Amino acid sequence: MKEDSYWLHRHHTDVESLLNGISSANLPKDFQLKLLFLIAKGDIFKAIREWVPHDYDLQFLENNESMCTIKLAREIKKGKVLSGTFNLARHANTNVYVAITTEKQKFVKNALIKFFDNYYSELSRLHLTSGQIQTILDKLKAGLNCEIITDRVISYSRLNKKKFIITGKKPRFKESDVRWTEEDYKSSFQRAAENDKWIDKISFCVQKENKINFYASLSRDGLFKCDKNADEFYKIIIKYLVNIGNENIDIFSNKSRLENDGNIKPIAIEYANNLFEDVEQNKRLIRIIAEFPKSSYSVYHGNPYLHTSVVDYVDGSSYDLWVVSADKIIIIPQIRATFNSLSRFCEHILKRFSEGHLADLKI
Amino acid sequence: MTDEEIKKALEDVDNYEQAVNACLTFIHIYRWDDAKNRPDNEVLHCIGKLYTPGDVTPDITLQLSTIRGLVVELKRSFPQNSEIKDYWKDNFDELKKYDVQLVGWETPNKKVNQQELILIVDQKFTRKIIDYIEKNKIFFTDFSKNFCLVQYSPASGLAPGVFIRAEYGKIDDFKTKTTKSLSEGITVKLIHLLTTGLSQTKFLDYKPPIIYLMSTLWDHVFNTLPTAEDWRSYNTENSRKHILLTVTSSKLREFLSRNFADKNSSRGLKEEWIKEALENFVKLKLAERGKITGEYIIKYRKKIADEHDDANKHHVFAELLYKSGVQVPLGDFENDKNGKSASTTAHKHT
Repeated sequence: MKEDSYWLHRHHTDVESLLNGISSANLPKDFQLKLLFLIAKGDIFKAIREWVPHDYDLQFLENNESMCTIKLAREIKKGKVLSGTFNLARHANTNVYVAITTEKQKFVKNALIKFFDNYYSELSRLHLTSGQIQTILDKLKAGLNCEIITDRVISYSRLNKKKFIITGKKPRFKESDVRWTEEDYKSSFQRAAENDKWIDKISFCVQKENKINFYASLSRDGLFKCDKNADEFYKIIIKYLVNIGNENIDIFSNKSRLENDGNIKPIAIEYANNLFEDVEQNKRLIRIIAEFPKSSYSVYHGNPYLHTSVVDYVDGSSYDLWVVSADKIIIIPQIRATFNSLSRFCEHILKRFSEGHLADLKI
Repeated sequence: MTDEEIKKALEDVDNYEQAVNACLTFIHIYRWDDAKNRPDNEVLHCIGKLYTPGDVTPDITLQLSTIRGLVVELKRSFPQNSEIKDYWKDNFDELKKYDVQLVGWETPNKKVNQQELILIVDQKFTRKIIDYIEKNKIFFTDFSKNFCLVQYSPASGLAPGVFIRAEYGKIDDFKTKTTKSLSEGITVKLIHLLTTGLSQTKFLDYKPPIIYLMSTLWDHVFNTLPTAEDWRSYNTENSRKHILLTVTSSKLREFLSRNFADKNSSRGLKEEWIKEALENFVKLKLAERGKITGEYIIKYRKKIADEHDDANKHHVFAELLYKSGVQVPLGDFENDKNGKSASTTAHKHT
């Protein structure tokens, strides 16, 4: 398998050619293609050529204008190296990228994702909302004229209780729910919405005339998997993903005051209902901000309106966050506010608090 | 006693924030064009700009046209006045300095022919000030076309804002801002200040409460100083609990003035205020003095103290400074623009 997977990545100039090649190859039963979608402020090819994190080794096997074949190795322990091959492709005239690999999940999780995480000032994972994941499935169903049957759903509850406590462990504010089902995907999303849950990952089977076309999975942090017919899968989803990616790039790029001659460029998370009429939501939002990893926060006003300040200790980005109307959260990026930090912070709120619509705040 | 000091320090911050918001609100009222539903960039505003004669720096000036300007002074507090000694006289003498044709406006000859003088005060002082003006027969008619006393108060609720109302005298009409509308009162929601970008101003041209300044430095300035490499090391070296930052009071003054004070302010923040904040960080063992004067090494870290849920940096710094008794007045650093000691004034506030 190792040998096969290496050769699958070679001699292709674009994603379509690569996926056609993979689809027509004689693949082993446990084959799984992984696609990691990324968005960037600039040129990722340039960024990874200019600097490589100290515990990684990078070898460009092939270079094409919009796609490279790369061998990546990471020393995870002294003398223990995890290595694999992937293709990194840029979608035409955009800053939406996809890293494609046939390697095992261990490589994806411990080497590939962590490698890209190091480029936090230039890129971010393409985060999706539950609604966007459902739309992708809608598009697959319509585009392939098929049935989509949910295999497994991982969802999380947004707990409203003050604290969800497990004895002897840190307090948690979310509760996971893993379900194996054989239901239509729409039922899975409906159940999640009714129970104020967010869908983190969904595995499903694409079936046409009682024949299984392929198994696939989508996750909200931009990692997709597919066992065969990846070219069909990709062709249908890519346009929509590029649209989402471009919108997010616009929202998260160049928002720091440093990049705007000291002026502020606020972002809003807008909700269809007047969520903050219930002042308890302020307290819930504060608790969720407190759980933003590697950060500190300060609550300057909590009731009846909310004003907090957040510092992201991953890269020193900082924000003022305000709730001064019932239907939106306003995030004001301060002097330093990187593309990646803003993307992570917004995703944290969308995922953990409530999924709203991200937009530039109109002046 | 320490709890009282903490409470007072936090009230001081609250008053300062309200004063900042009141200034921004007044500017917003005159800049906002209701007909076009956007700010009118023809209306120019300055906070703390220097004018002659007398090198005066009104808190706000609003140039409504090439011939008309508003000169605005904001007083967030007045000392307790007495029959024996008139503590308010100095304030009104200061105000009288603006009742001349000021030079420094954005016009070819740096003057406007029509100036109006406005005093903005916290609502709790309004009645007493009107009584004082009437009793002492104070007029501002040497050059000013009008004088107006305007009060501000917070408008609470889920859509918070600032309520402004003319209480004495008048201001000539400007577009939809009429004598009637001003005397009925205008509420500006905070969201408008956020969307029009005014909210980036966190400092006026007089001394902020020290814990307010320390919080701004910690949350919005120090985090911008480490390099990308510093952050990478901070996040990978588990043993490392802080990042060492070498700062100078003069560079911090420039940074704060450029980013958090009005761009047209003639002075921005004073270096002495920054030094006092930095000295406090030294007292709290969050910084050390550097080898040269004005240089400090900040030990920047994620958690300053055992911050509880809903942590508030103002509260954290107030507790650290006053509860452990490390905060002592630094006389040399206390002079505000009127030559008064901020801490002395604070004790006299009604």
